[in-house]
Order: sequence, then C-alpha cells, then structure tokens
Amino acid sequence: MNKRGEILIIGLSNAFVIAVILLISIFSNTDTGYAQFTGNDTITISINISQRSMVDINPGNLSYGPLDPGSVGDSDDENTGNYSGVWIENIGSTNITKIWFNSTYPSQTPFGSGDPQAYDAGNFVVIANESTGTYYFPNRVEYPRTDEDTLYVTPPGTFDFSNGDIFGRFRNASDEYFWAVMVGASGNCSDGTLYYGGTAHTKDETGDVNLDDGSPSPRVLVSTGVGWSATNVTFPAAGGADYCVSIPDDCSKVIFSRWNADIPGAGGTVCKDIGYFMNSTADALFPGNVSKGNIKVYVPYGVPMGTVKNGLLTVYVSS
Amino acid sequence: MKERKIGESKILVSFFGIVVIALLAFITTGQELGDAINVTDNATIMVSLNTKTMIDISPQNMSFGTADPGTRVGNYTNDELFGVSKTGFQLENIGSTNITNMWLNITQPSERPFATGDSSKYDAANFISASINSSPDNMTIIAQNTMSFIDRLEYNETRELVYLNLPSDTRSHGRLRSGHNEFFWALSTTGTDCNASANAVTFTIGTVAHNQTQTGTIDLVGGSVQSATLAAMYDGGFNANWSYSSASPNYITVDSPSSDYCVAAYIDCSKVRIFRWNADAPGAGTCGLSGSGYVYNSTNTELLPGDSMAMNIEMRVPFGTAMGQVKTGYLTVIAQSSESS
Repeated sequence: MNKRGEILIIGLSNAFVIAVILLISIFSNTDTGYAQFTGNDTITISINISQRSMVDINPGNLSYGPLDPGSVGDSDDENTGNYSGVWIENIGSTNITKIWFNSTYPSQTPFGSGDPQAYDAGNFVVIANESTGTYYFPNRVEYPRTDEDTLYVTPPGTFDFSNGDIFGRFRNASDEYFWAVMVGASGNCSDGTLYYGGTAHTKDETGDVNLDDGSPSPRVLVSTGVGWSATNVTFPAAGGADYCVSIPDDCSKVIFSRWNADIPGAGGTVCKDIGYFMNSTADALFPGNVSKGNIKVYVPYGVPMGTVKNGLLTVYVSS
Repeated sequence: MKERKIGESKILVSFFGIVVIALLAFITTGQELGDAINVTDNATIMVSLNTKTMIDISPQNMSFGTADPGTRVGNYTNDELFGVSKTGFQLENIGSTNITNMWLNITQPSERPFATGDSSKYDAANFISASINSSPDNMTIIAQNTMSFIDRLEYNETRELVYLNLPSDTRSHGRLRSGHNEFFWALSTTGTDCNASANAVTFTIGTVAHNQTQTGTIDLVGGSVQSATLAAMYDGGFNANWSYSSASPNYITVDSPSSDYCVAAYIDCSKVRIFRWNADAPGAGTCGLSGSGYVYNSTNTELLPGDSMAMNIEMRVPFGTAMGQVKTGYLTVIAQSSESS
C-alpha cells in the first residue's frame, strides 16, 4: 500500500502537488507546528492636491478689559486665554506671499457721544510682527473736529475751518499727535498739505502744539487716483513708527494705516507698499506654516465706560 | 480599430471638459488664470472700559513773560509753542465717565506779599482771571467770555488809606487789584471780628476803579458801591474760620468789564477771597452766583468722554508787584462725575 501510495503520489499532476503544499501551508499557520509562510502586495496611492489658497486666524475671539482710558491692553488683560496675538496659519495648498489686515472702525466720530457702542474695538487694535516688535495700527481712523476750538494749538499759516481745512488728533493710547490739513487749490484734500506734531500730547506733557513752525516738515498729499490722497509720515515718539496717512478728497476722515494694503496709498507706490504685514515671494509662508501677529489694543482717552462695540480683525492673504 | 476610436473619443471629451471648467473658473473669479488669489479669515475683538473719571488741562505750562505792574496780559507762550502766543486753555474729559461738574483751584500767597519787596512772596496763580470761551454745543455756557478771577485772595491794608471814607464799623479795608484797576473794599462787623456766625459782617466794595488817572470810588458809605452780607462761618474743615454768604443772592458785581463774584472773609478780617470759578471756596454754592462756582455745572447736559471746553485766560498783574520772577503758581481743574470710579 505504501508503494502504491508512493506511486500514486508521484503520478499526480503538478497542480495537485501545489494544492497539497498550500494545504500544508494553511495548517502551518495554526498551532499545530506547521512551517510559516508570509506574503505581501502593494497598491499605489495617488493624490493630487487642488490649488487652494486658504488661511485660518486663531483665536477667533480676543477680549480685553476692563481697561482704563489712555491705557494699553495686552496679554495680561486678555480674558479668553491671555493671548498675546493671533496665529495666521496657511491651511491651503499654495504659498502665501502677502498678508495684510483690515480692522473695523466707527462710521463717525464717537468722541463726545457718551456711548461706548459708538466706538469700535477694531479701531483700537495694533499689531506687531515678531521680527521688529513695533506695534502699528492696521488702520486707525480719525475724524476731524471742526467744532473744536483748541485754544492752545497753533494751526498752520492761514488755517481756516470755513475754507474746509481740518484739524484733529492721532490717538495712540496715552499719546496724541495733533494734525491739521489745509486744503489745496482744488478746495478739497486731494492736493492738501498735512501738518502734524512731532512729539506727543499726553496727560502730563503738552507736546508739539505748534503746527506752524515747519517741524516736522509738512507733507503734501499725493493722489492715489481713486478719490483719495496719501502720504507717508514718521511719528518719532511712537517708536519711529511709519504710517501711511490717507485722506479722501472730501476730507471727511483721516486714516493712519500700516498693515492694511487695502487703504488707498498703503498698498501702492505712494506709501511704498507699507500696508503689507508680510510681502515676500522668496520667504513665503508655506502650506502648514504659521505666522504670528502680536496684538494689543490702544485705548484712547475719552472712551466711555462699558463695553465698546465689538470689532473685527480680518486677515487677508495672497498667494 | 473600433476600440481605438472609442478611446480617442474619450480623450476629446476629457479635453473639452477641462476647457469648460477653466472657462467657468475664469468667469466666476473674474481673474486671469495664474493671478494671485486672496482669501480671508477674521477674529472678533472685544474691549470693555473701566469706570474712570479723568480730566486733562492743557497746556501744561503758561508763561506770561515779563510784564509791567498794573497791566493785563492776555497772551502766554511756552516751550512747546516756540514763541507763538496763545490766549486760552482746554479742559477735556479724557476719562470714561460723564462729567457733571468742573471747577478750578489756584495757589495763593501764604502771607501778605505787598511791601515785602520780594517777588517770590507773590503767587502767579493769584493773578489769573479766566472766562469760558466755548463748550459743547448743547450746554448752557456760564457767563460766556466774562473774564473773572478764579479765586482772588486779597489781604487787608496794614497802613490806613487816609483818603477813604469807610463805614463806621469797619474792621479792615483793602483793595481788589485787577491789573491797572483797583477797587477799594471794607469789612464791617457788629462784633470784634469777622465771625459771621456771631456777628453781622458786611463786605462793601466801590464800583468805580481807582487807577493812575482816576481816584475811583473812595467813599464806601455814600459812593457807588456793592455789598454782600456774610452770615455764616465754617468752624471746621477745609474752609474753617471763613465767613461766607449763606443766603442768596449775596454776591457783588464789580470790575471793568464787570463780573459777578462771591465773597468770603477770614475770621480776623485780615483777608478776603473774591471768586468766580472755585466751587470749593466758602459760600460758592450759597451766594447765588450763576453756576455756583463751577465752570461746568450740569446734570442734564454732561461733558461726555472725549469732549472738551475751552477757556480764555488773562494775567492781571497788580500795581506794587516787586520786580523779578513771581513765584510759580498752579491752576488745577477738578472734575466730578455721577459715576463712582
């Protein structure tokens, strides 16, 4: 029998032999002591990422206070997590080459209204990048006070409210800089000249109240071609802060901007692209990378107690 | 061959599909292919303010230069003005509460300065007069543009002015020095001192100025005079031993241009205070003065945060002021709010 059996086996086809071997292989995977056998296979995973520019700004809320008028709110005053700023993350698939901000502001002067809701917290926001550490307003909007007879400030030359000349102050927390704009030959601000104080008016210092002494040098407004004119200005006492000062032709407001390229003049040649928080193709923010903007709020003097109207800080990116 | 045609057809369909999608993208975004793409995200900023009553007076320094005795100087300058002269100062609500009342305090000489020969015995702030120039549109201005002493302290004359005709019960006499004008006054009392709680005390002042060209009112009995009755005296506190007008109206109207003033007299009749803008002074709230000593006094129309009012200022240098640098004086503004802070 054994021989027959042996002959029989020998006489089997190759397929049968393979089947037997496989059977042995299956049993070998049990605890019965058969020999092991492993195998593998590979499939290819292919993904194509679409071209998407996306950005995420976090945290979504920053809450400061209560703060005193004329004070600076920083991470110690931030209530949701003592956040020192916002993180701008490239969550898209393209390289971000430009970053800038918009912040909300009131539609008319809130000072003297007695209503904290007439103010806008977005107009208090200042931002610094981590490399320089100097805080700037993305856009600080100031409205002229044509009804204010500030007897201790010397206006420039033939300044006259009735001619359309305007006067006001750039409020930088406890520092205030007086400014005046004298309209040009057009009778509006399109060809006007900006005069401003070089040192701050504070609670304890009068500051530069002589806008007629030629120091700092007056700045002639340059048309941006969209119903606005602008010029760049350096405020020495504000950390040498450079701002783009933009004024609509009707002289209705004055915007001091640094990180907002959407403000006329700030994102163009007049103010030399001063409006970008980041502007570099060579040093782009790659997908998955994060840029931080340190944030504080500069609360001016003369803000009523209570809760100021919530503001919005919007980050714009371009790839 | 047939299979191949089908394959070519699929390729054509795919190609057209890509073109259509690209065109749709172009139409939708309005951008040329390859242009920069802008996207945004935002964060909410919330700020709340403390209850804080704050006031700012500007400028910080006012220098009236070199003046002659018996003059009025309406312009000052300071280091920040680089030679430019100004006529006023500003009171601004820089806090977060509504201001209901504002008034002024000034420094005064601690002893009689005249005849000392020492300019430092005088106090520059005691020479100051002020008027309200402007204020918020919806506020009633108190005595607008009426230049008045804030709180003028005058000591009595130590040597009798022999040309005056004084009331019979006069205990002391002196003058209100207002630049080139002087107005003689007398304090009369039914007792031995000017304690108005115990005696009837009357302040009388001539209304015609004495100056270098005219004698003015020197007859304080039958001449042109104004008078105020002082009927009470503080026996403690900041105004201790000052008699004041406790019943309204009991103020005087003098000077040129004229102004209304409250009057207070010290218990020993040695000095008087003639004041318009100091609500802390004795009797400011009871003498009947409009505004009761306040430069801003309104519970209905409050000075709101960020708003301001302007005041004119004038230095009235008396005759008989010693040459040299008068002691630096201080002008202080005090603001009151209905809110606690």
